[in-house]
Amino acid sequence: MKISTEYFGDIEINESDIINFEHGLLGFESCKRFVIISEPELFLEYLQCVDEDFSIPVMNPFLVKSDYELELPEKILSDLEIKEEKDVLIRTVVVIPEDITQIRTNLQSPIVINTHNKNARQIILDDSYPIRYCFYQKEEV
Amino acid sequence: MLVLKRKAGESLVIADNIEIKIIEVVDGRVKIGIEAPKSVSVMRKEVIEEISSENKEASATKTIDKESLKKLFKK
Repeated sequence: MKISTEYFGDIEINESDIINFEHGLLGFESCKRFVIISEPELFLEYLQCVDEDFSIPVMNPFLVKSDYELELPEKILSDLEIKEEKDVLIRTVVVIPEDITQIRTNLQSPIVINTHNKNARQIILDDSYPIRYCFYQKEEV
Repeated sequence: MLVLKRKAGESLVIADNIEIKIIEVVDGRVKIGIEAPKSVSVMRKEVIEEISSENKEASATKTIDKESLKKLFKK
């Protein structure tokens, strides 16, 4: 199917690539179906909503915080029907301010994707990781 | 909104498996104990609001300076 986006223009997507966020994203509860679009040459990806023109930059948090650890709550495992660790993809939301040295990612509220059945949710961990993790020159990206 | 008055040591029960207990009230701050099944998520509202606003800020990025971003991480 084809979707029109302001940022990427018209793009062709496979329905099998659609990721379902039953609860949407926090603040965007009505956006429930997304695809991941890679940003060539950069560490960034975008979650592009399929039903409205809304996208949000995300990244692999382990690139900037190699010792990032999270224990998925039982409820998430069962709600997303996660059976194997290898099916889990973790992404975190990236804020890119005008001053890009202030680039940051939200380690407290990762997006958990079950790549097997394409169910996903943005979860909230306890506060051992910050909502605003500035990673400019922290580690090699 | 249902409004109830409670004193320290008193509780509320929601449905049949969630108990909210007022532990202590000191100087306008209330210490609350919550007993609920693990499947019930309990969050401070301001945390949820902060994450919502962070998501909004992230999604407001319209153009990014790819070249600068690339340079930023070139060691």
